[in-house]
Amino acid sequence: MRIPPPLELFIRSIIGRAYPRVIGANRELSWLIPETVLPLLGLAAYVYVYRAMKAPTEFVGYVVLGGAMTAYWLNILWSMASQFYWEKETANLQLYIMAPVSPMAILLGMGIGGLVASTIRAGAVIIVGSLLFGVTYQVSSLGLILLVFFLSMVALYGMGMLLASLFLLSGREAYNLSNALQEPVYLFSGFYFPVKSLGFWAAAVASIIPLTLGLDAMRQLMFPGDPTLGFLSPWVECGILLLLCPLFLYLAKVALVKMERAARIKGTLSLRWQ
Amino acid sequence: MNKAIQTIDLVREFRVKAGKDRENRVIRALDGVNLEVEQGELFGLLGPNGAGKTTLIKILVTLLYPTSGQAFVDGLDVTRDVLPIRQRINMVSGGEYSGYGILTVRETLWMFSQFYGIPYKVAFERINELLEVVGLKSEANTRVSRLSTGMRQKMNFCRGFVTGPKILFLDEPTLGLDVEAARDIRAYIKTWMEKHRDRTILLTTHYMAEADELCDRVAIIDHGKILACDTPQALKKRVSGGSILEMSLSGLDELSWLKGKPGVKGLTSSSSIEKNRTALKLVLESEEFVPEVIRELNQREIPILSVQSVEPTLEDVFLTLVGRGLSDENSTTP
Amino acid sequence: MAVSFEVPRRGSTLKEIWIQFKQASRLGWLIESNWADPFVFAVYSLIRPLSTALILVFMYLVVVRGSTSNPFFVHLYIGNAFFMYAGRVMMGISYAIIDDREHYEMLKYIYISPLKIFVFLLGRGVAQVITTTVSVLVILLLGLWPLGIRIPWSSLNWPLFFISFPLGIIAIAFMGYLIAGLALVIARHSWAIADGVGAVLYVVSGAIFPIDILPSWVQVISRAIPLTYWLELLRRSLLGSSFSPSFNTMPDWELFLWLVGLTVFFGFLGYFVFQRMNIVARRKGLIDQTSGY
Ligand SMILES: Nc1ncnc2c1ncn2[C@@H]1O[C@H](COP(=O)(O)OP(=O)(O)OP(=O)(O)O)[C@@H](O)[C@H]1O
Ligand SMILES: [Mg+2]
Repeated sequence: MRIPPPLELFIRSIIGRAYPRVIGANRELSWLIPETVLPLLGLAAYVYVYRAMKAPTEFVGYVVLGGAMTAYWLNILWSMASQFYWEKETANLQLYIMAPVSPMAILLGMGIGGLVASTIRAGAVIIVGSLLFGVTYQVSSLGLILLVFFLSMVALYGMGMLLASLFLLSGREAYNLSNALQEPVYLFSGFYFPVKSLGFWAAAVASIIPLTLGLDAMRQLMFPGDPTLGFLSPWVECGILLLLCPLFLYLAKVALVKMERAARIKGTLSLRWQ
Repeated sequence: MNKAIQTIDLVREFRVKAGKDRENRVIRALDGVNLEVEQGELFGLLGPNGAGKTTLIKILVTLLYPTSGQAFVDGLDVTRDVLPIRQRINMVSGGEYSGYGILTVRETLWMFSQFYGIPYKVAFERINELLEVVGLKSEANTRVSRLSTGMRQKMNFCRGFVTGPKILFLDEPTLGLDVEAARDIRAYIKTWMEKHRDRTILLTTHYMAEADELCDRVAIIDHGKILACDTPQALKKRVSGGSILEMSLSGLDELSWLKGKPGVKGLTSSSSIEKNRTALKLVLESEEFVPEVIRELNQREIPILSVQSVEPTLEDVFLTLVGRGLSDENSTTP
Repeated sequence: MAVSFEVPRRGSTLKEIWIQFKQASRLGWLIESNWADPFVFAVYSLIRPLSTALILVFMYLVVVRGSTSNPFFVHLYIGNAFFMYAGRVMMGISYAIIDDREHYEMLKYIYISPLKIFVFLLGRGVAQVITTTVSVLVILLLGLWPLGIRIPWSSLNWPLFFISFPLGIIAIAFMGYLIAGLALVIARHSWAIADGVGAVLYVVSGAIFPIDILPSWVQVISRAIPLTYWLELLRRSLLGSSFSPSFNTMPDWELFLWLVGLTVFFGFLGYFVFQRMNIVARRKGLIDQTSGY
């Protein structure tokens, strides 16, 4: 019996768990069509509203960017937060917990796999949406944009990992909660309008969802038309995201340990028993 | 050397909600289990539905805490030494699916091997070997969603062996498999144990013959208690002092009243409506009680078509100890 | 599901149709209220629609920075509120097909005649109309009070409202029937189809903007669907004015005729498509399929 070095085991597990998500996105390519067309239709309606109101052109860019980002939020809700519910049904969860690796590796694998799969969808929406509605980008510092994107994704998937751990014990509640969080977050994170218009305090509270600040910063950096529309300066937003990343990852780890323990006490790691 | 598995007064209770107004009920799934399994043993756990077999396994594989008592796997405490235990074990539950429909069989097995840090080359060698043995080689590149139930279960079985565990837990590994597939699986378990002398398997099953054929030692468990634990031969010897009768009766009469008669230790019966017959199996304390039973049947005017005295099987041991058959619907629970 | 749904075997007298319709409505209601534990009901009927409405409110506020009593906003808000019927009733009807196929496996039992399925689906739609009305009223209340939308109560055209409203619901039901027909033969993406059609209609019918802003080829589609006229009629009856300049010159009766004509057209189209797809589905053995998710 060979006991692999901890780091090797950790990385192998991440790759192992990410694999079905990455490969799944490729194998079921036919899903890419509805998953691109649906958000495009949704954002098209909003684009026309802005046009009808004679909004400045950068608003079209706001909407396209926000519409693309819905792919990530949907992924967090349906493939992270409520994931363990499905994993229980297929009895995978107990196999993951039983493996000699920290369940954090499994969560990270889920997150990274989901990130890759969602990026394909978001990318398709951005490209088609930009071409369709003639969005022009004014990128001044690509480096900062990439940094913001990276940080918001780490923080977002950290949050997804936290939600997944918190719902380790639950059954259908996770599914209901995912349903309940979909549109409200589109609203509070400002997917289709600058979050600043919610007012300072509402926007500040909404900033706990990493996409809020991520979107706001990316919009400011890609469409610098009206600087008064930004919530905070991109650098400040970057800084806050930088704090959110370790916070969510740490909380996810703590929650995971607690929930695993609770599940072992209550006997809820599998739905069925024979 | 450490015992492979050891439990001391192990108890596990479940609290179940019994509806809105009623109080929560407590189910005692394990009720003071003491068990010792040596390294290199193929140990069988036999028991009817709800006996607590799966619960015991879940505790040993660190998925469940005991309510009280202690359990050790390879000398390690299941509540404290979680990680080292997990490095040494694996589990297969029959009837449970695992993996994702979108992956192929080979990919699924590879994925699970990664959580044990197995290098690619080793993993794929083992996967190929295992798939060959269980007859799933031709499906290696088939997507899991397209497998039949039995195929999927065979894949799940392979998953348990891929990681080369020191102690392996098999919870009804042949559940729902056809005769041939079950035979393949049993054959593989035997060869694996012969090839790796230092490995231990704890296997639960409903099938007496399976336990008889495979296991070095068998424990019989019911209502969370171990009723007996010995080699199959020794267990069978215990009932050979008595007498086992197989009778064929005409008609479909209810026979549970026999249970209370002197000398009767256990019985099972099954009736065939088409043939209008009932097959009755009786375990008696000794041969002296045979005429007694026949008289009772005659008194009630139940025609006896044949009577036969048979060698004890593990089934009869079970019948004697538990008082009812293992998968017996007309069982007469005491 | 412990709900039994009996299909009258013979004839289709009005009375039998009525009985069947009642049973289907009851079934629809039971299914609806099945997942209507208060939280789930709140999510579907309040949280989601309110969030969507508020997104529009903030979009408007950030651009116009004006008051919400502006006619543009009122038209947008009212259109969005009533569009909910389209989304929910249409989906309720087509999901009935998908649901039954995948969850209740009841479809094979109700496969008798297209008329009967139609009555069955309509019954299911009624349950949706009722729950949707709750959401629409909440949205309208939100508009009236905190948002300060003004409705010219004295000049409301109630007769126009009360003949247009039910007609539009019927048109929506027909469209749901059409989608249900398509969903019958599409196994894998049937959920996406229902969602997708809803999203297309949201754009094309000009629920939240005047259709004049759409590319002209899309406007052709807008004018070919009953929803566009329905929303226009509702706005006129409630607000007394048009959203879209190109409808400005059209008198009420002409709009109404369009709505009637298109409703009838979609009724026939739905009927024939459904019947056709029904045959295709049976021939290919798709009726009992489950997509195993
Ligand atoms: N997670 C759980 N929550 C509540 N009760 C449970 C749970 N797991 C097991 N039980 C109960 O504990 C008892 C023992 O169950 P267990 O699954 O261990 O039996 P088993 O011997 O494996 O039975 P089978 O032969 O049917 O697989 C049963 O009464 C069962 O209902
Ligand atoms: Mg069991």
